Amino acid sequence: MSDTEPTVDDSTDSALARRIDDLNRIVYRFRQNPMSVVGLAIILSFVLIAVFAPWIAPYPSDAGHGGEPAVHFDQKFESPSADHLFGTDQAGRDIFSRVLFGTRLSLKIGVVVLAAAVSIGVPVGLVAGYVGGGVGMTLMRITDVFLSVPPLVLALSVSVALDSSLTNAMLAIAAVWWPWYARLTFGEVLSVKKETYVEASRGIGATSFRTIFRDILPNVLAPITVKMSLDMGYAILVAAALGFLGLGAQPPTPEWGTMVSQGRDYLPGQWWYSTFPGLAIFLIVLGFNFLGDGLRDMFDVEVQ
Amino acid sequence: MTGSLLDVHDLSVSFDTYEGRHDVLDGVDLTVNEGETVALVGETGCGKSVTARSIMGTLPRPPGDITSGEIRYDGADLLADEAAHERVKGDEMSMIFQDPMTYLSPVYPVGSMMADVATYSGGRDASWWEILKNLLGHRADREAIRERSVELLDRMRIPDPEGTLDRYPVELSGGMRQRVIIAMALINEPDFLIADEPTTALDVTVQNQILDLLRERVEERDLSMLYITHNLGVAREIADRICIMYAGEIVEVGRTEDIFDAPLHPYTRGLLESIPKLTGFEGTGIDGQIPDYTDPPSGCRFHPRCPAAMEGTCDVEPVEEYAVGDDRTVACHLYEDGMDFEDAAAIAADEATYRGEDAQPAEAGVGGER
Amino acid sequence: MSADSPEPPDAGSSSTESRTAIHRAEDRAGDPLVSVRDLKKHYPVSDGLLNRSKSYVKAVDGVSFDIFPGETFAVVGESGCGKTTLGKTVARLYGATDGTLTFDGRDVTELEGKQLRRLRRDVQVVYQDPSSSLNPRRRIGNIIREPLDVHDVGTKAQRRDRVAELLRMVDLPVEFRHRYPNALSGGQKQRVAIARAIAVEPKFVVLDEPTSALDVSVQAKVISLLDDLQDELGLTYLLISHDLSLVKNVADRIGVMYLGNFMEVADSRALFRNPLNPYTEQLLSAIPVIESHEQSLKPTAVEVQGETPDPQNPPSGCPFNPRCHRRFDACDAVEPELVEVEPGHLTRCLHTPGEKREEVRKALPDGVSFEERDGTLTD
Repeated sequence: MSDTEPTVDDSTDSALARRIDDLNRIVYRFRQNPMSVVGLAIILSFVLIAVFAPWIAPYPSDAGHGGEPAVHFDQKFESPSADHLFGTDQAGRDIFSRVLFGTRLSLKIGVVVLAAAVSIGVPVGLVAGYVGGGVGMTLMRITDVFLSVPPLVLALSVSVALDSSLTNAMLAIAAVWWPWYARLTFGEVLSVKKETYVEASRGIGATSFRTIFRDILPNVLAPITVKMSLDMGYAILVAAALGFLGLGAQPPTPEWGTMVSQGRDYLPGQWWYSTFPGLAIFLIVLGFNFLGDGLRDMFDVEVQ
Repeated sequence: MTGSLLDVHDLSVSFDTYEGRHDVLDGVDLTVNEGETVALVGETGCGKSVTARSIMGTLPRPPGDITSGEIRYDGADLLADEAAHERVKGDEMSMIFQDPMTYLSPVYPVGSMMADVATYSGGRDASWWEILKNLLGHRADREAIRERSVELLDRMRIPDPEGTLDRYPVELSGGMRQRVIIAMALINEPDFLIADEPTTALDVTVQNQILDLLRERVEERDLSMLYITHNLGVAREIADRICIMYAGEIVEVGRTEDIFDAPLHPYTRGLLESIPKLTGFEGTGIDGQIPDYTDPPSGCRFHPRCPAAMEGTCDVEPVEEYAVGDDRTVACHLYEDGMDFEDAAAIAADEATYRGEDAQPAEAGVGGER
Repeated sequence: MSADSPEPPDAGSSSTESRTAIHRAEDRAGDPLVSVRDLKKHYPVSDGLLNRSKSYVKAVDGVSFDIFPGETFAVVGESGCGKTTLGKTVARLYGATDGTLTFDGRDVTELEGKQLRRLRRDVQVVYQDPSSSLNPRRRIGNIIREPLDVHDVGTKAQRRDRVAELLRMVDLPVEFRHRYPNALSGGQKQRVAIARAIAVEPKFVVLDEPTSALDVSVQAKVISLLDDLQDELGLTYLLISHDLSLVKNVADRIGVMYLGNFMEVADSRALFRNPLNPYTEQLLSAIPVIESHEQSLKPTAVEVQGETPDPQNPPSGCPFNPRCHRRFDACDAVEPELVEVEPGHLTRCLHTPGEKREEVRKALPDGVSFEERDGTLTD
């Protein structure tokens, strides 16, 4: 590392090596927090399960794979056994298979809800923070109105108003979620805006659009990413709650919340019906929380 | 060494990070005699703050790790005896920080903070009942502390010391805050002060006033002081002796006037030449930068940047501190242990110069007016 | 390099030849490149919750000066004197509250949008702290290429080559283009910032304390780099600094600023040899020195006192009067004007010596006369 002697040129190798080094550094920081590794392992397992569910699940048709969920009334309410690891439900369907397929739904809910929330919230926060003044004021006050309604109540009313279905549940959750992203982004933009490199970007002659996308957005992504990871769990939880209340996915869809709700009627005798989907919810929320904490630690270190 | 109060010997400190082990301090020797002000001068990342933190016992461990050496204060080995360290830290040493706003709490008035320092310093055990009483303003020796605070603020030439006690830090100017910090450091009548760049954040006109005050107080109470700074001009104002630090090693130690009149170590010479002066500016600077502590250069840590580096010697043999003349040490292979000061000065003038390829006239400036 | 770029139609005189020509301070006779007249920048401050009664911080309050092609004009002063605001207002990063700003014969005070962005090709800024002026999430190569992208200079390949050339110009290894700012030392980062500033071949660069965040051994290198670049590219500098020793060595002319206004403006040599304003005297006498014979170059027996007052609440009369060692009665009643005492040497002080004293008196408002208040002026 010499300050003075410029070398002739660089190869793509060195650029590649640098990227690999960047990656190693990130992995090192991430591994500093063992919980985040556990979280990542849990989430990765769920993703793998979601992808390979048709092959792992012993009775894919019970979960509605390739049509309506099958019914086998002769096998109803069998307790957990080698044949049915998590037992069967009132229609004789294999709960293990249904929980595995439920992973697909839950992840889909999390991804769709957050994608919707982020794509509304982040632009609102960016514009409000960067432009400021009356425009920023107006946007943030609108955001505050949404924030002032308790999220579950708003989600409930939206799903009731729109008919109970999974799509409407996701819509409802996204509607209560975006204001948090708007507010987070707004605050981050305000602090990044004070950095000299934003002023420098203007001093170079860059347009506002360019400044926002090149200099501001990349520097507010870290906290947004952390929040997304933490929120994945909550979004799944809220979707499950809506399902539990009968406002989300409708039976016989293998949605965890709906399953817990259905199984409730058969407690405590057929305890396995509610327990295993409940455990799945618990695990995935826990996994996303651990992962989010790990990411936050990682980004915190990076800032220093 | 007669009358040495603080004696740091062979102190080595490492830090563990992703990049590996950083050997930040490498056998630092440092002595502060009774009633003496020593300036520890070095650039960013040279390890001067790590040295101060090791002495104050505030080094974060891990990632920091003191691998060798001892720190003796008035005979007590502070690294070996934790109880002694606590006692010395609380009763005999005080620290003055660079940025008053991060040190002063914004939610308490000056007087209450000074009273807290007076009451709780030294890790003294205080019962929760006592703390509660103090919080509610029923401090046992409230009047005495207030009187002492007023007197100290007055001595720091703070106008309206009584009123200042009831003000919050934000209501004071930068210079006034730094005066408050110094007064706070003096409230428990320490014997030893560690000042970590206390004037760096201030304007020159204010800096001068603070330095004058600090020197007055130190002389009046016959305090010993370790003054950490990157500014040679400030060191020249305040210190009796100067230690120049580079990359975790002390490279040169001497009386202030000697260091400025005849700097011996090539690094010291480079630093002095780098500073723009009223008499002119050569603008040569020192090539390169502070080395990577995970893999410090072999031999002398300065050799890759040194204009007088001798191949086969400086890059191979570790340097030792050579005593040159009277009360002067320099860690450089150009010199020999026990050398005459005049001989050493001659060598320095001959060899350790920075007039590189494009030697510029003494007063070349950006505008090039002359 | 700029041959590839279409010249903006209204850029007028900015031909490639004049950019590379080396201007020296001696031929200052020509037209100024930058002309600042009565420039003001006031910030509103709201008091308390009901911000009915707005007060203003007058960060820059009626400053006038010219900068000639190829010269270095320095503005020195203590923190809070408004020097950085002045620099950034002159660079049109901030809009002026009042006054005019002429660049290369064109009034640019009110430029906006596209035209303002085009002005940025000619006017660039190097900031104080390179750690915060470079986006930590972009690679060095992208940072330096940004102005070329913004102003659409050359083809992609040409820009790539230009980045390598710029890195070489600031003495950095070309492979640094792949690094992130965090991997560089302070001095290296400032070199990157300088490379970015000169990428589009500006005529005028505002240097806002370009070395004060750097270590001394690195400062010297950066200063001599700026010096070389000025010669090579014929740049004109506005240098903002608090370091008088530095300014003495690099500036052609100096404006000493206090509470939003110049107290003294002079040729560098004249200012140090014969400081006319008491504030300049105090600043000079506070300079920490390294060599013993530097001491002889400082004014003697000047007691430095006080601190810069709150700019929201400036003192009445002469802004410096509460700290002044030559203060007399009239000083807190009358605000002196900046008057030219010797050719090119201006000062703002009621103690103005020589023939100009009459002029200072004439500038007094009705009802205030020296004779009535104090006789010291006639000494």
